[in-house]
Amino acid sequence: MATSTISAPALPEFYLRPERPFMSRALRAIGSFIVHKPLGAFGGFILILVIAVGVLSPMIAGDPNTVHLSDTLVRPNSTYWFGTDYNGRDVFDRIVFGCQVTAMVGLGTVILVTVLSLLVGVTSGYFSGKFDFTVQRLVDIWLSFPAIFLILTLVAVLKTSSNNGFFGLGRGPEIGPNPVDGDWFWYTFPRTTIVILALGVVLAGGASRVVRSATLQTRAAPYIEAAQVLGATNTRIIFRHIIPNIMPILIVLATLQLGTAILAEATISFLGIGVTNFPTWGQMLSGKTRELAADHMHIALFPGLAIFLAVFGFNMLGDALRDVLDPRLRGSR
Amino acid sequence: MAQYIVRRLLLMIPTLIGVSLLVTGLLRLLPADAVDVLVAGGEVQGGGEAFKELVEKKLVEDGKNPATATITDKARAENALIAAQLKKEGQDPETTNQSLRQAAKNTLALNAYKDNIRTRLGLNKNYIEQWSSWAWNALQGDLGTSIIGSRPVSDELKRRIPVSIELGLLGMVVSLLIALPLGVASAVKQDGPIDYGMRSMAIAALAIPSFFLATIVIALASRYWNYSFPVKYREFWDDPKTNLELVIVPGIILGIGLSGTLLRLTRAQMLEVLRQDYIRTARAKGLASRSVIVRHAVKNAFVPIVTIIGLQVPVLVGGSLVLETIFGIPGVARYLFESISNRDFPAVIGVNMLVAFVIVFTNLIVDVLYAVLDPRVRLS
Repeated sequence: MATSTISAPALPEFYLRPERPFMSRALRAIGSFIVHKPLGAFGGFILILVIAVGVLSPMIAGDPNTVHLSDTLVRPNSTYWFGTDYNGRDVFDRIVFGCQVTAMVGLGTVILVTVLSLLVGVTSGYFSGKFDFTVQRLVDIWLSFPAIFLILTLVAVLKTSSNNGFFGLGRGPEIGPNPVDGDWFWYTFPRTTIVILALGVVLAGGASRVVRSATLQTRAAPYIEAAQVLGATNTRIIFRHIIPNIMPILIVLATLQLGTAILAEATISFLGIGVTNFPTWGQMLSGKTRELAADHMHIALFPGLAIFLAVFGFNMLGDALRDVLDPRLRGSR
Repeated sequence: MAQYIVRRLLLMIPTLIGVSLLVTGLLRLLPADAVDVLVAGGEVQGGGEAFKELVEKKLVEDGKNPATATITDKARAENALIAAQLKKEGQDPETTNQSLRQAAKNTLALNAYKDNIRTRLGLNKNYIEQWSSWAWNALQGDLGTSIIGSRPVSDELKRRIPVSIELGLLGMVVSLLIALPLGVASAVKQDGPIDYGMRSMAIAALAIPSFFLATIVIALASRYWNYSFPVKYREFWDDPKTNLELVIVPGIILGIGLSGTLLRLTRAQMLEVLRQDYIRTARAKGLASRSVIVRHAVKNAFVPIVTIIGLQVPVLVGGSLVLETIFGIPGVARYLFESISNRDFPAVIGVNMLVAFVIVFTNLIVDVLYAVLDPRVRLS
């Protein structure tokens, strides 16, 4: 009997497609975000635009503090794209340089809020019990202040403590240097930092509550228990398991806080507190602008639109990111 | 339930104590105090008397009787005081000229004068003394007298609270009128063009700064109708027309700002409810779509919305500051702002405690109301 060889058809090659490289995946994700969430992508574009204009402002615009004495309250034309204000300063230049404060305060506040709310929210949610109870009562106090009071007093207190040098940087003059010359950053930095600290402390209270509830939910998951059984330390669990898992909520929170922070900065600038030695959007709407706006609409319109567009864009981005990242809200759109 | 409310009420006490302690501490950190503001503003002047007292004290220290001291003695004491002050400023008393001596004398006089006022107002106490005397008086219903203007804080609050309530209520009503119908429409037509329009509108309402909106409204009114808003605030009961003329526009602007959050919330709640089984049952029964939405869905979606309105109270306080400033409405937020700028300690702590109390109390009411309206919610 002849040995029969079993000849089976060669198995088709089943294999997993190799994972695409990181950049390619990121680009695809961004592409799909743009296609599915055009308004969110628009918000992302505004964010990048504000940062880019802020960084490049000395190249884009002229000196925002130059006073054109013969050209006060000029309507928008080819020389002054957005017109000039009551002192004869170019509104376009001031808006472009205002991006610096907006970007610095916005991003700085968001970073501070995220760090503070993580610190308070995660520890409070993770180490429950008496510790959680005590911390939450302190957060109660934190949230019971009228925000204006905290911002006003913190800004005033920090300003004096910066009189004799703030982080060794000095206070900066009342009227800023020529921002087109290189040194502007070190003159505005102390004032900007004060605003960031005040806004960050105020906004972090509410954010810590959100982080805490997310932590509580994550903590109840079986894999946390498994990690504990395996003998993982609390630090390891917090950094390797809890924080990565609440990351989507953090990202969404941060984007939405960006809009809030910028609106708050504009509001306190409008009230005459905060960064006073550098052009900011809110400041451009305060003082004489309100009285003159009836006949010279452009001096109020452009800075107002700048604030509106920035906050609108960031909120749109935050909203779209929430739809994509927050699984609890996925599908509810 | 009763037990829960009692527990929450008890928890309010440490919160309020914490707020008052923090406010007192933060105010002490502030640069300058109310007396500096008063003197710098020229509200009070003086110093001659205070300097005489200083000289007399110096004479007593030197073992002389101020009543019988000779002019030479007095001049000597005066010179000693000025020399000490000059040394403190880092100058050599031997070589200074007359104008510097005069400046040093003025500084001494002014400081002595300020210290006298501080002692009289109780501003030179230490932290604990300051807080406990405030707390003791507050417990007896006395919020103190504001330093600038010397009116009792409680009187000032009594005058301003109704103004703030009027503005806040108006804002709330406007925001409800905008948000509820639009939110319901947005949820019913989910993902349609109406929905997208409404959602963008809600985000726009959140993004538009109230001071910008107010500026534009005032500018347009003045330009096209030649209309200007009343300059002086009048009480509603005195002059309802002027009062409403002044308050209605800021009320609407406040309402637009609040409506963004509320609209999104209404929409989310409606979507949640529309997915419930009883809605499907109602539709299956053959009820008209309109009846299902109005009688079954909206009624149930409103429960959480009603309660969340309460949570917007702190937002109202912040939001109304800008509008009160622009339109010249004497509300509570404006009072707080002015008092902080004036370092008016009793006024600032009074307003802060009022706001803190309102926030804490509305939180409690919201939680209880939530449980009352929705029997599924259990308080713990």
